[in-house]
Amino acid sequence: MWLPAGLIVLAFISLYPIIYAVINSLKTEPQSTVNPFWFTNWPLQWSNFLIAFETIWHAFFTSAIITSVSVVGIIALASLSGYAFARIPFPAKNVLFMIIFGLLLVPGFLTLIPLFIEIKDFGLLDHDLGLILPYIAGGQAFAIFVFRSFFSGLPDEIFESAVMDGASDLTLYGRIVMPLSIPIMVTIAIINVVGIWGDYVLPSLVMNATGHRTLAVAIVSFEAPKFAPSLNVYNIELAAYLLASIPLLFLFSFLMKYFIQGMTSGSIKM
Amino acid sequence: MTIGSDDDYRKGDRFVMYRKITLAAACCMVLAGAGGLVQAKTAKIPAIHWKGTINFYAQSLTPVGPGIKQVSGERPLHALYDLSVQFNHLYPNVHIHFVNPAYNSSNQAVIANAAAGTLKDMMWNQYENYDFVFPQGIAYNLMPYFRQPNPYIPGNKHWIGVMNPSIVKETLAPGGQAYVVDGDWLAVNFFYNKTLFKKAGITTTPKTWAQLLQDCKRLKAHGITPGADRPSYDWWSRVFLGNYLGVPTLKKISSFSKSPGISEFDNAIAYYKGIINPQKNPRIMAWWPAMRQLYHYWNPNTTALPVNGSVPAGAPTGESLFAAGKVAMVFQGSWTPNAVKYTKGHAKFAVGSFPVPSLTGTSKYATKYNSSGDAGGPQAAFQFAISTPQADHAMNAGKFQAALDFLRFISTPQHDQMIVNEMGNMMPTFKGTTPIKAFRPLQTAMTKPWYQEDGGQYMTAEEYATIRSIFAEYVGGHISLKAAASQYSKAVATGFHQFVLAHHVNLAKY
Amino acid sequence: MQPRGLTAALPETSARTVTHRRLVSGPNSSRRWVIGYLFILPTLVFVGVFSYYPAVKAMQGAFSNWNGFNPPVFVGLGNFVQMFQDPVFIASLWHVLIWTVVGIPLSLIPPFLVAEMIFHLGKARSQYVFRTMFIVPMVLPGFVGLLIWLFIYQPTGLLNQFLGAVGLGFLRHQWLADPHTALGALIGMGFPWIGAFQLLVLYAGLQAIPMEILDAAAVDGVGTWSRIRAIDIPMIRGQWKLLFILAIVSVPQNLIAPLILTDGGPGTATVTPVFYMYQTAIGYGLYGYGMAIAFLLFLVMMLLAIVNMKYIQSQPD
Repeated sequence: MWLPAGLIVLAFISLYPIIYAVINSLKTEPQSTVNPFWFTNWPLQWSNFLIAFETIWHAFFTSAIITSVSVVGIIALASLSGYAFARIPFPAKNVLFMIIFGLLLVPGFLTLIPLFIEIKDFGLLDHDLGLILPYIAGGQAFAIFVFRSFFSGLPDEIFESAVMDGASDLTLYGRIVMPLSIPIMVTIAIINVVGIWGDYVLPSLVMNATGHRTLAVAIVSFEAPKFAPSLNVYNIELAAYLLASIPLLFLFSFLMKYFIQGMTSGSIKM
Repeated sequence: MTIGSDDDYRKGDRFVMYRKITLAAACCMVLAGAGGLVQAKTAKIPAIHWKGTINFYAQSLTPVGPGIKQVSGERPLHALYDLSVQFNHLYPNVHIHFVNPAYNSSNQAVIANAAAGTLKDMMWNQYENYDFVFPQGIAYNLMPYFRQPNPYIPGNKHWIGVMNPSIVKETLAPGGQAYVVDGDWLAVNFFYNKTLFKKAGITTTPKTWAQLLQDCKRLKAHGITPGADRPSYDWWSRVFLGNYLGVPTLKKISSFSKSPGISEFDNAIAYYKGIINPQKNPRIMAWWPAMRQLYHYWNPNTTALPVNGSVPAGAPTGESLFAAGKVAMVFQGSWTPNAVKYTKGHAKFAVGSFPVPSLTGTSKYATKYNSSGDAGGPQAAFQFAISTPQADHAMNAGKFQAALDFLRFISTPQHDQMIVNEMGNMMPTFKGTTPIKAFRPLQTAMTKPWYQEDGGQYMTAEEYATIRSIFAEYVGGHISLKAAASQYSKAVATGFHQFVLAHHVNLAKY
Repeated sequence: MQPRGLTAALPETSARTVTHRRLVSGPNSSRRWVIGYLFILPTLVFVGVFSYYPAVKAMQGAFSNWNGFNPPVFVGLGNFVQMFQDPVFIASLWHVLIWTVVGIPLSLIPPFLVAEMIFHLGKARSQYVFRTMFIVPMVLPGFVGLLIWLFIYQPTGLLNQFLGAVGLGFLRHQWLADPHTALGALIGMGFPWIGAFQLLVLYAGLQAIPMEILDAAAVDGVGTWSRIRAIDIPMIRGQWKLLFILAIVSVPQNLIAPLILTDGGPGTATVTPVFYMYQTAIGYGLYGYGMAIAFLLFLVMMLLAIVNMKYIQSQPD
């Protein structure tokens, strides 16, 4: 009995930021100031959600396209590379791997200026590809590192019969590795979806057109720097973040199903 | 106190009429007497041959207009939009496009855009950023044009002649460049909750520092938090240093360079001469204990916040606690009454204000000089620059002329007053302007020579951040005065050293 | 448990994984290396154009006096010399050392314990529910969580109220404003430290332990703790290795907490090299100096990562 009880306590603490966001998205700022932890004043400010929705709804589509294309690109490219690094011998493999791995050590804000200039020189400002291409590149290092580690943990005997039948590497990758790697692909997809969905700095520079911006940029627009009164934005912003998280919630529960299927169908063993 | 509403240039019927007028033909506008145009007609207006659209990021002053909606809960502004329409009537080939105020104007974004050549044509930013943080060369030096006539002001010989000289000097970069036209003044004052003061039995506002502390004690005894905010070195240093140094010394500091006011250049020399060196002049830090006494009464959650950088939205701030009716007073910018007024769900109370009380008795160095107006300053909403072709590849000589002319057009006394008063949070600073009624008592601060002595905290951006942080640590009770003094001396010394190196100051001359 | 303890546990692995670890099974072809290059080619193109090119451009700044806009002025190793005379930078090295040593176990052990707890729930359904519950908080941006920690740590915040209520009032602090506690407060933030990624990876590892081994242990009457020590921890050594190396590269790069909650302060109490890099480059306009710090940090972390990978790989399987 202590097991579920302990888990419920831990899960509650982990979930608290969401509970907090729900509570405060239904308040005015003075109500939040008085007590941010629970409902204290009435009535609830449902209008916060209306205002939030009006401002961000069109950005859903932009963000959905950018995020999905980027994440598919990351997984496709990184899993191919991960397979090669894990299972195909070729010269200078370790050096090439470390070169890619090294990108994990470069803080994003330092490359921001050269990257932004590059995107501009490619003529990709205000264009979805201006974000998608850098995101695909940016997701590689982490995903390849994780994929390589998992692919090299796959037991050799599951490949043996296929190899004896004369299967090529592409076949092995598509028929054996991919189906067995669904849990780790789901994990990597979740990490990247969350990161790209909420990214602010690069989109705020690349997507300058008002009618074409990502969710995070649209949400921060509530906070537009003002010497004028600006105390009303925080609660609306929370409402907007909650609205923006709804597609992610659906996606997660959908992906979780595959996570389990991958677990039970295959024999992932390290 | 109500701020803004009585002085709206577009209020009521006048407003409706004005709207119709701006949409009507240009000739009708002249008859109806839309001010700027009448003046412009009488003066000789330059011809603009350039055609196209100027992108203008006006931050807080961004008007509602095509593509820009009013942010929830705020009052929509129209002045700049109306002026842009007037300008377009004068020059049908020139269009002004206002950038959505959500535009990312953080330092990081400005530098990245400048490096890529994608800055907006006209930009708001703090003059300190243009002078000390941003790379030099991203904005035009407007000083040569300050010395020329502004053709949109009848009979004007030098544009600079209608500006406040102390402010022009304060906003200059160390090399003498003027990157922004600065047209408004942020007044800083105590704003208080009349209901809470009454509840504590306080009937008159404090006239001396001792009374202020007495009132804090009283409020606290009644279970009311006296005040809230992050410790503000910027504003308090101007109040206390101005007073403790006294007018003769301030005049002396100001005289190191020719024009009135105090620039960082003056501060560097003053430091070199020991006037603002904390190790040589005991006055420089003698006011810190008084601040510690005051902040002792402030809401500790707000005084514990980091003083540099921004805190996450939703964190407790002076404004939010004040609007919620949770603290009795704030020492804040003149936007405060409007901030309360336009905050949804704010507590019901009347906002009063009082200036910094007399500093007599805060230490033996206090003088009679009333420095209450020296807090606040031109770090406000009307600070507009024009980007260089290097930082804005869409800029060129022809476009610059057009942008400069639009900047001249909006930077006349009449238009300055119209733009700034419409928002109702600041005071216009051009000569001959009148602030809204509520700010008129504060106007004297700008009409007298103005000495913003902050101890030279801006000599480098690093020093600026360090000093604010030391001050906050001291008033929060985390370090002793001795430790603070040693850290502070070191920070100013480093700032001075780097300033002299970076700007090739010839100290031997002084 | 120390990070050392984790790596030390890795070599004890079961006989089963040993036989296959070193083998690479695949088609035999003399041209197979070409396939290998073709597989990584798309990645190399993307990474080269959109990651390495900007990174190399930026790193050139490390050897110059550069403000991010005007042409860089070459200063050789000047920035590096300055760095080691800069007390703030030296202090930041200590802070990141403490943060890493404490932060890595904090990022690994709690997710492992939770993964074990979920794994030992009887029903698949409740496993699914709990797993989802620990992942869902990721949908909100990090600042919401940070704000809650601000409310916990502030002078009249939850932590101090709690200490007062249980009679430990003398322990109350202005956690983030006091230079003595600020760094610890930032490191301790995030309780109960259950990272979703770590949880998923470790859980997947536990799921993959062959049933027969667990059954055999059960038959032999091995207790829960002994089984975790003798079977679970060593059997998921691949996962430990992966997460450990990722922790080495990610914990020192934690920028957001000091940026938002303390701004590196009070004083310089919470300045880390990455934060200082940000502050000098963005706040003070000293891009060249910031890049130099980045460059040095890059070299150190790369070295650490290589040493760790080598050390772990060189263990006899």
